[in-house]
Amino acid sequence: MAEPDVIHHDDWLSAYLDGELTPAARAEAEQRLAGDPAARRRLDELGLLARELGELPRCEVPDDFVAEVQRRIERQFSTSVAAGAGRLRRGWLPLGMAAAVGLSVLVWFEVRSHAPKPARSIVLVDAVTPTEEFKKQPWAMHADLAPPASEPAVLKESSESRAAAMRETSSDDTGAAWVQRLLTIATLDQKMTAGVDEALLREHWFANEPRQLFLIASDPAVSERVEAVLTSMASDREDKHDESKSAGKLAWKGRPGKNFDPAEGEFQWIVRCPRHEWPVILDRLAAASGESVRIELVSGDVLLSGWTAAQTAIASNAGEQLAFGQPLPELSTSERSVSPGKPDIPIPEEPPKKSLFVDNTLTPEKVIEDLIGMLGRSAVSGSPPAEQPEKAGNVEAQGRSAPETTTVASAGVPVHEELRDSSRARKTETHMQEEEEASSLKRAERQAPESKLSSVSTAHSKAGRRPSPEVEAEAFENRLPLAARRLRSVRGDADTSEKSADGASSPTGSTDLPADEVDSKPALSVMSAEGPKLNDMVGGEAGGGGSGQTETRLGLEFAHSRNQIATEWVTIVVRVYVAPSSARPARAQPATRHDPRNENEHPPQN
Amino acid sequence: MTQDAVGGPEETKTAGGTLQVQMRPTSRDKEGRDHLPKESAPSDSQLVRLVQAGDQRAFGVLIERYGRQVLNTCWRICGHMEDARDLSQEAFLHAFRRIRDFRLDSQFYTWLYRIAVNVSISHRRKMKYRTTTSLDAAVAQRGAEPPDAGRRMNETPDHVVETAERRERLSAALNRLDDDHRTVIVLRDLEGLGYADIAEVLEVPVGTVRSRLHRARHELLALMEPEKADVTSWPSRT
Repeated sequence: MAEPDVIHHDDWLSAYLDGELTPAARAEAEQRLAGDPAARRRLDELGLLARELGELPRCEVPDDFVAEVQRRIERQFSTSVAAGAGRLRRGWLPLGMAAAVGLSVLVWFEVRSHAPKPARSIVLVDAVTPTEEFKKQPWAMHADLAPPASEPAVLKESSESRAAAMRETSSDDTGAAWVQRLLTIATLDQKMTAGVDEALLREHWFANEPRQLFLIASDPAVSERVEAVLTSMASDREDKHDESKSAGKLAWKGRPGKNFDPAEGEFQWIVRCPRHEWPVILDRLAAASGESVRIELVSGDVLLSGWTAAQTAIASNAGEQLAFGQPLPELSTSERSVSPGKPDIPIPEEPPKKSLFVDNTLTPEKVIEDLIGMLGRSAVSGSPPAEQPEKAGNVEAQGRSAPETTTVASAGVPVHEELRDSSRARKTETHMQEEEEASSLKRAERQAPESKLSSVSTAHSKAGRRPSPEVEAEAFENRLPLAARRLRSVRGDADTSEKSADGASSPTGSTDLPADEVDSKPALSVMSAEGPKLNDMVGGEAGGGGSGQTETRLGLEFAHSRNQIATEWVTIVVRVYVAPSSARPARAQPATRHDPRNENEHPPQN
Repeated sequence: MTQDAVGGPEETKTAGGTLQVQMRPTSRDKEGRDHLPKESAPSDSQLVRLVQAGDQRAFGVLIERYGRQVLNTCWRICGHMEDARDLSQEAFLHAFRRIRDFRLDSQFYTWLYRIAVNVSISHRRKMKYRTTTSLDAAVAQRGAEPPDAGRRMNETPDHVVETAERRERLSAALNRLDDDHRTVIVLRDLEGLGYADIAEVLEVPVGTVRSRLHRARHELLALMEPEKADVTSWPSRT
């Protein structure tokens, strides 16, 4: 009991009454009481009050209380499972598996530019093409690798059409649902590769399907506006994380939390909501914040994460609390804070190129390719390490070619040269479709310049054979434990192997960590022994700077995935930049609106 | 907070807030999972591990163990009996949903209390319950009696009426406290939690619990007997 030895405050009477004083303080209290009749009377009153409070009636638990709670649990669980099974029956599982082994990567991103933009573009890209290598994997042997029959919907530019798209995406057969299925299935399969118990896996997978929207505001004034919007949106949904009650609505995890130190000028919120509501939230944020705020969706990824632990660490600003004892990296404020009068969004001209997530020359292609490589190697956990580069090279990506400036720090894992080459060679018809959609997006933006956000989803799939739903359902039922057993038998002791892999990892490119220092940070390695070293991806962990916060977060989540494999989230990182009002751009500047494809053609000269 | 070791002694909180230490034999299968001991009551942490491993029955044991505390906490914080039943169920559902993230580096019951408190306060704010709950109605609904009812059978009818009226006033006064004060009083005086546990539940320092409880009691006294309230002795709120 951390009670003072001496009495400094007036609250000693209550503490004395409750026996919560230290012996020294208690002795002092008794001495005071002996000489203070008023204090004695007060003590008597407090004692009587406490006694009467203790005598207030207590209600008994109804006989059916436990059964009722368990019924509700069963109901929710079975609902989730049924919904998931329905999805699987429609043939999404194989695609998810493809996603899990890096054959499918989905990235939401918004390409940053160096000028404040009144409108944003959200581009959804995916690549789903199972390779022969993937098909040979034990867990894929019984899987139907046919892509979905339906094409994902395209989220339109204008608010009205976006709203319509939102309504569409609430159904099962449209784009956002397609994407969500893909992600959840992908993460399911990633869990399987880690040998998670099937029952636990299925339960938690479905129970945690709502996604997180991760917001960071770099300025207190902005954060107030963001918080106002979120609070407003969540006011009647607070803590309704119950899918059965809040299906299709924003689900809010607790009250808005300021998890970062305000002194650092950074605020953060976590919003759990159906994926298809993200555009609406971002839209409202942009509308409420005015043009001084730029909302930038940096990257999205399929993450296995121990988010709770990471969140705790961030919230308490005490990284030592993390299970692996790794302090949170020092976050650079160079990009996050905007000083008044500064005319532009302070994105460094030459950002560090340590890794995927600190490389400010990020382009959609790079993000996609690197994630493909990362997911591919991490998921193929049963394969010998020596085969990984080859597998990474076999991954088929439909992302477009990466700029030559791509640098991905790689510790013990080759840079994705083959991957890049293969994706260059694969500038396919799909790519052309994307470009067409980009053109239509630009047209739409010109027509609706007041819109703050634009969403375009492009996803491409091949029509393919699909077995009957019954066959698929049976395959799903049979496949999970089978695959889990096989993977377990292949993997052996994951902890041991991971440690070994960590020991083999080399320092991150630009961080220049000594090898033994890297070894001392096992949590920053990936979940699978043979998978990529997340040290590669979190090169800014030691040096901070640039987009280090994004990178760090991803690293933490991956790290925790090793220990908390049951907790997983798909996390989208959004940064909100603010430009001073004096530097706000004129409203609605269609001519300067940014399109990611344009930036593609003219990559930043970094 | 201490993290108990499997198979070792564990402090178990009883309904009265006291602690008992008992040895907990456990067994583990080849995969290292805990299984319920057959002859002794499983500890909270054992049950939590089982739930985390997918054993839903173990959660039922936890509900049985803490259902009454959670129900009463919800009742006294939200101020409405019928809502309390729903809220307590909601609290357990929340707990079940999040139990995967529970890391066993804190006591399960403080974690559960925290959920119950948050659910109740959230509900109260939403519903804006500011009126006094009819204690009689709640008692009649549940057939609940004061714990010492049996010892007071020989009291005079007048005294019984007076006691009932005072309890009703006390209950009403409790309901008029702000959320922070009501919560700390419920946890301490009704649920019997120690300051350290309350601090863990509310995620505030122990010193805050101490001062908050002090202010809450004085405020409650003032509400009960305003003519006797020694306002000058109250510490100012910081």
